[in-house]
Amino acid sequence: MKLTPTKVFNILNIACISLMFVNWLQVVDTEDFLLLLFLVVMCIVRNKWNHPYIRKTIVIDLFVTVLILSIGGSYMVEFALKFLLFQSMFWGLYPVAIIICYLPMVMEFTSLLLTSSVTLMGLVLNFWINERNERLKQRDYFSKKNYQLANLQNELTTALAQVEQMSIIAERSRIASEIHDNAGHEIIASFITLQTVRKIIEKNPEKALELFDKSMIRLNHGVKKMRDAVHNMSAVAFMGVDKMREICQNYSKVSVTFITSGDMTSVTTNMWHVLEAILNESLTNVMKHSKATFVRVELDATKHLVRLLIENDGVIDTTDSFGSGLRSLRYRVVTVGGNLTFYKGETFRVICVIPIH
Amino acid sequence: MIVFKYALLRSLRSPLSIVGSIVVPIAYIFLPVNTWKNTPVAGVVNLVMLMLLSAHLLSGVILEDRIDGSVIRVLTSPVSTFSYIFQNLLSVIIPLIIQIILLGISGYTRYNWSIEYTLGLSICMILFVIANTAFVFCWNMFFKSIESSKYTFWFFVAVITPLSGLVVPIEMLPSNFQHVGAILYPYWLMRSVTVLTDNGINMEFWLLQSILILFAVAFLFLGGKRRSI
Repeated sequence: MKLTPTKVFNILNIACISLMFVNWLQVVDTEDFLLLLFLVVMCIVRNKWNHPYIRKTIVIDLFVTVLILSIGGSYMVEFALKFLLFQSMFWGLYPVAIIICYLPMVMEFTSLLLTSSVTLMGLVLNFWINERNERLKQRDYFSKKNYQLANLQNELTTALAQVEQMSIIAERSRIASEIHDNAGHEIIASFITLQTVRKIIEKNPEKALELFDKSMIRLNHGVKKMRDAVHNMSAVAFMGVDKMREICQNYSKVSVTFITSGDMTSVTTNMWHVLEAILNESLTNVMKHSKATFVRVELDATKHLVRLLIENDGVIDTTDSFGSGLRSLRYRVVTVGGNLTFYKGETFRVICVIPIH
Repeated sequence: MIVFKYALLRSLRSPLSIVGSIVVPIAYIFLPVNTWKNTPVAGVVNLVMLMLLSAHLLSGVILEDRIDGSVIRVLTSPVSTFSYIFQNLLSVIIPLIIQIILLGISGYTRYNWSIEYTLGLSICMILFVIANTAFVFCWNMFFKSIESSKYTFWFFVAVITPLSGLVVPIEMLPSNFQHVGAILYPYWLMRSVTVLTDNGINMEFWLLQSILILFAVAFLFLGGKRRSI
C-alpha cells in the first residue's frame, strides 16, 4: 500500500475519533455523542468532496464544538478541540488553528504536550502534502510539454514528407516541360524528316540525302539541348552517399574507411539528413575526445531498413554514454522511426538503424 | 417516479418481502400485550428488529442492478444518479413508514396511547427507518453478491441487537458493554423510546433524534461514494 499524506491523515482521524469514543464511554453524555457524530459526518463530507472551499467548513465544526462546550461539555470536548487543531494545521487553515489555541483549555499546561504534538503532526503532514502536490504539478507540466513537443515533431515530420512529395512532383513537371520545350521539338522534327527520307530514298536519293543531313543536324541540336538540360538539373552539391563519402574523405585526423552496400535509392532525403548529422557528430566526437587510430563507417541499405555503423578504436573511460549532441540526434532518429545505440567494447560503435517504409 | 414504481414492485416480488413487510407487521398489532414500566412497548422492539431485516430485503434492488450491470443502462438514460438512488431508497422507506403509521393508529385506538406518545414514537421510528435504510444502502455498496450481503447483514444484526438494547434492556447488560452499542443507531432508537416513555417529548428527545439524523447523513455519504454504481 503506497503511503500518502492523505492516507496517514485519514488513519490518524480514525484513531482520534476512536479515542474520543472511548473517552465518551466514561461519561455517556448525549451532547458529547452528538458532537462526536457531527465531527464524524463533517470528516466524511470533507473526505468525499476534496475541495479547498469545503475544507473551510471546519469553522462550523469549531462553532458547534464551542457551543457544546458552553452548554456543559465534558473532557471529550477538549479532545475534540485538539482534533480540530490537528485538522486545521493539516489543511493549512492557520487562522482557525490560532483561534483554537487562544481558547483557554487548549493552552493549559497539562494539555500543552498534546496540543503541541497535534500541532506538529498536522504541520508535518501539511508540508508533506504540499511538497507532493508541487511534485505532481511539475510532473504534469513536463508531461504536457513532452506531449506538445511530440505533437510538434509529428507535425513537422508530416510536413517534411509532404514538402518532399510536392518537391518531387514539381521537379517532375519541370523536367517534363524542359524536355518537351527544348529537345522534344527537335527530336520529333528529325523523326518526321527521317520518315520522309525513308519514303523518297529510292525515287530521289539526292533529296533524301539532303533531308537526312538536315535531320542529323536537328538531332544533334536535340541531343545538345538534352545534355544541357541534364547538366542543369544535376545537383551541384553532393547528396546522399556522395555527401557521406565527401565527409569521410574530408576528415583529416585519421583515415576513415567508408563502405557501402545495398540499394540506396529507397533512402529518403529526411533520412539522409539524419544519417549525415550522425556521421558528422560521431567524427567530431572522435576528433575532440578520443585517440582513435582508425575509423570505419559502414552504410548498408536493404528494402526494409538502412543501417549506419561508425566504429573507432579510441574508447574513452567515461560513464556518460552519449554526449549531448548524440542525445539530441537520438531524438531525431526516433522521430523518423529509427533507433540509435552504442556499444563500448574493444572498439566504440555507434549504430543507427532506420526502417524504410 | 418510474424508478420508484418499478423498484417497489421488484422489492415486493419475493414472498419473504411480502411476509416481512406486510403480513407480520399487521399481525403484531394483534399480539398479546406485554408491558415494561407499565407501557406496552415490547411490540415496538419486535417491530424494530423486523424492520432491520425487511429494509435489507427491500433494498436488494440496487445491489442486483449493480451486479447485473443494469445500473449502467439506467444511468445512460436521462435519470441522474441522485434521482436513481433517491427513488430506490424511497421505495424502501415508504412501506416501512406505512407500517409505522399503522403502528401509530393501532396504538392510539387499540392501546390508548396518548397523542404525545404516539407522535413521539412515530417520529423516532420514522427517523430510525431513514437511518436504517441509509445504513443498508451503505452496507450493500461494499458487497458484490446478494448472498454475501444478506448473510453478513443478518450476522451483523444478530450482534447489534443485544448490544443496542433491542433484546434486553441496556441496563441489564454488563457495565462494560452497556454503551458500546452507541456506535450503532438502534441504540439511540431505544434510548429515544426510553426517554419518551419516561419524560415525554423534551430537549433530550430532540437531541437523540438529531443523532439519528446524523447517522442517516453519515451512511448516505459513505454509501453514495461512487464505486461501481
